[in-house]
Amino acid sequence: MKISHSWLQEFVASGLSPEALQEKLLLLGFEVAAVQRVGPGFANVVSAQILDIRKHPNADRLSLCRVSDGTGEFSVVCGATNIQVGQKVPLARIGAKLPNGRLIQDTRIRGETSQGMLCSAEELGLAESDVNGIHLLDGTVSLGRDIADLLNLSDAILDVEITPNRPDCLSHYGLARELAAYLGLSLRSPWEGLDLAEEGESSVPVKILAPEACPRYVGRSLRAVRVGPSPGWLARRLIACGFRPINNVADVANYVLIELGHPLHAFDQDLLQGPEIRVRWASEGERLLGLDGKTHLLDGQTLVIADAQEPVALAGILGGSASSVTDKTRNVFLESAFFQPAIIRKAARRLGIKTESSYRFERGSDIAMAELAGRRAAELICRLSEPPARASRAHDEYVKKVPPVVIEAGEKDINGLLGTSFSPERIEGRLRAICPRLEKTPGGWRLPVETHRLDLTSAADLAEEVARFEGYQSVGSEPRTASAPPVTEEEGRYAALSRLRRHFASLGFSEAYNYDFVSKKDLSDCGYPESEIESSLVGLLNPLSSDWAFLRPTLYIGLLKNLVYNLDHGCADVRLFEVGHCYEKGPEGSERVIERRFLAAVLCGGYPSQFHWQKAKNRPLDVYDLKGFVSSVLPFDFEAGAQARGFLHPKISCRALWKGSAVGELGQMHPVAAQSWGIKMAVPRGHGPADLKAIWFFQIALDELLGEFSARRKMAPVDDLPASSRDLSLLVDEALAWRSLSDEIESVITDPAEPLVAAHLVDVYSGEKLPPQKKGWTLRLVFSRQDRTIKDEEVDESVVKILAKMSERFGIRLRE
Amino acid sequence: MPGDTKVWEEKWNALQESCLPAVEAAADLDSLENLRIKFLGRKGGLTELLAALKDLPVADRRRLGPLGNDLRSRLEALLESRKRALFKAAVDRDLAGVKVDMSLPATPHGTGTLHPLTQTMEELVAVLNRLGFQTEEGPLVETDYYNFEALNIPPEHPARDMHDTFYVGADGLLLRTHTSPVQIRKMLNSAPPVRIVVPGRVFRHEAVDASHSAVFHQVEGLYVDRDVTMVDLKGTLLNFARAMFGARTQVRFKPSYFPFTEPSVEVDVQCLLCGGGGCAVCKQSGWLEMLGAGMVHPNVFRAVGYDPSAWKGFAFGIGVDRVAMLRYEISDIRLLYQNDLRFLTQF
Repeated sequence: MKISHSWLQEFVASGLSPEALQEKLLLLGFEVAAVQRVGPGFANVVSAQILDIRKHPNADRLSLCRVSDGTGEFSVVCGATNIQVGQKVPLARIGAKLPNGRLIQDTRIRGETSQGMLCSAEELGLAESDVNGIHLLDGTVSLGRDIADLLNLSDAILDVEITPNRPDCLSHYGLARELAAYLGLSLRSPWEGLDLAEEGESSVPVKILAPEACPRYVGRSLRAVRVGPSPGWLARRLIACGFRPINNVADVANYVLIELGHPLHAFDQDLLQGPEIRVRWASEGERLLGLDGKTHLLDGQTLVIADAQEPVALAGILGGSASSVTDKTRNVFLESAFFQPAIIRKAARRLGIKTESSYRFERGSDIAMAELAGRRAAELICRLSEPPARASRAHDEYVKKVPPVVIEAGEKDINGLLGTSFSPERIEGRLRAICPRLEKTPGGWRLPVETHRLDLTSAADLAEEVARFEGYQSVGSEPRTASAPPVTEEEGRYAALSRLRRHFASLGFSEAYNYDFVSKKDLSDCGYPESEIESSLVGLLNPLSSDWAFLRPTLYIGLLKNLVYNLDHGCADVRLFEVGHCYEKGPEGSERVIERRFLAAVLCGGYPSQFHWQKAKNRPLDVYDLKGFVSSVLPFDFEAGAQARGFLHPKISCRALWKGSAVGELGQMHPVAAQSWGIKMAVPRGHGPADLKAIWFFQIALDELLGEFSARRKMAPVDDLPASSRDLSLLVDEALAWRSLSDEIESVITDPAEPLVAAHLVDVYSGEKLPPQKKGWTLRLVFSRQDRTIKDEEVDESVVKILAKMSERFGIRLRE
Repeated sequence: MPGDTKVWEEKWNALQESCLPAVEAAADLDSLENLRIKFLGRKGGLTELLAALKDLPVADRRRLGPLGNDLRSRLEALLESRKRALFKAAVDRDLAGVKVDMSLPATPHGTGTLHPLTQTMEELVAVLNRLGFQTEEGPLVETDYYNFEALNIPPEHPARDMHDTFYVGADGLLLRTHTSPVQIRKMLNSAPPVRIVVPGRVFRHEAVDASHSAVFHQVEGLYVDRDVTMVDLKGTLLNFARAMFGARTQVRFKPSYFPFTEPSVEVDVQCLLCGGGGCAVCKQSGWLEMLGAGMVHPNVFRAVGYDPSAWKGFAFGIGVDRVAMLRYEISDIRLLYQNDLRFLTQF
């Protein structure tokens, strides 16, 4: 909110400079975003007196004036008609600069010398038009005085941020009241000097049909109003505070808004049907053309101000166009009401309108201020009308008086919360500044809260007031030794997650952070059918854009986009991982969202690097590397084929299982999916990978696994006896999966009677030298005995047994 | 048949004179080995002489035996030292031919990096863990109740303007706008005292630009106990700020407004970039807004069934993205979510 420093001074004469005020406001919790100096916008304009007026010899509409600034006389050509000899006027001397940038020079106009210019209010930036001609100065001013000083035109505008709990500070008077209480200064009452002559009753009866929404409505008729431009002083203040002057009626409503903080509305009384005012709920389907030029469709939850026939304003939000005050208006009906905040906020949000009025009403206005604000506006409008308008008495419909909030508090409530030891007298002094009706009680104080302090409802609120006024620096910062609440299990999970992240970073993956939002197209490009997107994925009701309409069900989409971005920017070896939440709808009928945490990665390029100078180190990544990365987390089981909706390659992919259930998947990106993402990628051959451009993914569900990372391990004895090993070159059916054989061997290893302790697959061979439909495997078998050195005969015996078993189960035999 | 001592002695003299110089003169390991076999092998000259001792008369045997054994020891020692010398010479010769360029590029292992947000968030959490706060997490999809109502932000409360919200379902489901709903979940699930730190992702429905992101991260703390006061709040946050930003960090506490705290506090730290002298980042003020905090509002305690007259508490929150941007001097928040490896691998 824009606050004029000079205006504020009129209410509380703090004597503080704008910068000092800024500092004080900050300590009170009001941030001042900017302090802007506003000068008059002109220079070298002084008060002068007209000594003589003659007609310009060569121009009918111009006159020649002789003026004095007290030290010299000047001849000035003037086009205005409102000038008379003896008047005091602003004279822009030669060399003067005007707000519109014009430089005054010694010149000749139609052959006559002009040594300056007499200025209108518009030319000095004091008004929006110059219909009044030359700006006339008070006859008592001395000559040669700087007009900027004379009219007190220098000011500073403070852009003050008012938190939502303090609507009472959304005006000059309101902020001054806060400052006066804080600084212990006196506050000028807005009643002071307020002199309104009232005659007759209001011509417009008011019926409040929705007292739950509008407990008070003050109406007043202003008769014989002459609508016209506002005087310069008023227009300047409005402009400085960010308002555009319109006419003296609308401007006064705005002026009182920023002066006292209470929103008002002025109707053209003669355009109100009845005439009558009804405060009621709108009927479904009613429409109102607002002052914003838009037709608003209303519903039963919109409070309106209506005349006998139809809505004429959106209560507390926006006036209607049909009944608005125009140049033709003769009689004004002035509204000053109180509306319930939640009702205004709801309607304003639904209609998408935000006005100065709705802003204040939805935060909460002061019900006691309604009468004063109406009176003040009536006084100003009557005074600014030429000739003065006549005000009726107010019709004050106050249907629902709300009892004041009363807080009981004691010294302990304040010091106990703040950790301070302020004396009761000190606390009482602070509380009395904001609550003059404070009473002492045996336990402390009883505080009936002023109607404008909607934020004060409990002792904690009072503690904040005391702390604010004393200054937060007066609260200590030496905490006592605190007790330690019990350690929770979640700790382990967060720590496990942290370890997991470090694990992948040390494997060469960099960590990505993507938004949780994806588009429908992203999803269908990832293989999600339309029906599944609608039925089981989570859409946003108000996405920022259609690109971000859904919550991601997989981390692949973001990572894939990151991959494309990095490839496009010249990075060839990409290894990225992300830990994040993924979302799906809960079971049919429930509105729940199932949220699970995953770790996923995307890889592309060589391993460890595409550009390594040693050939063996710039090989392409392959699916066994991926198995290795995933297995390094936990010793998963793997099963061929991932269920990834065609996103992963049908052959070069697998699922990771933990304790029998699938918890992850890995594989190459399906060439077709890659194509639909616009990634150029060679079609991989038969088995295994061969291409540096192949794209690899894996994803692991973490929720079930995080606990496993911190599971405590138990030691197994380490066997230190010498082992002996044998290499077997085997001829195997091409279709046989390693897993079948390895399971069989594992059963031998785990049999304590057998000396086999380990088996390594050390070569896989296929080629022409082998019989058709066969492949070659070389196994290195390691034998050992727990209690003694193993004998050669034992090893031979075991090898024979193992070979017999392999032959019997899988038709495996030794290669020649 | 007793041996001929004289013959033995002649052979002995010849061997004694020739063997050591021969070993001394051996030029390589092979000839050294040949000499070892020649003298000390199973049929070697010295071996045979020593074996022949037993055929000599006892008196001669006593006289000559020690001489023989002494020669054998000396010969063995010489062989060993020559072997070492020749081996070293051979290795030196080989190594002279080895050419390795140690300046060739390393194999890139473990070149991955943790995201600057992870690093910052984990550090914030670690500091608070050390101060006794236990880590808690919660869901990102929340209900209106946990995100707003229980935190003293009823429907149509103007403070909702400060929380532009993404909605995901008709039942008031939304993406949490702050980590504070975890306060409510924790307090509903456990009796006081409570001391938790909540790291996590939050969402605001606002257009994305250099300083605004629809997704960002917070770390939040909550401490509830008997007799917790604003002094504890200030002391904890002072500790926290100094642990994060340096032991001499200046901190300023200002009144502020949050619906779920009363009194509410905003904490500024001395500008990390200019040290308080004033710069573009702190808009010449010398201070940076860093934390929002306050004493837990009695209505929040009522919502979770804690007795506000028996329990007091404080809560605070800090924006992780903002801290990361200040620490690493990241100028545009969007860089944190672009995942450009040229950016990520700097941290």
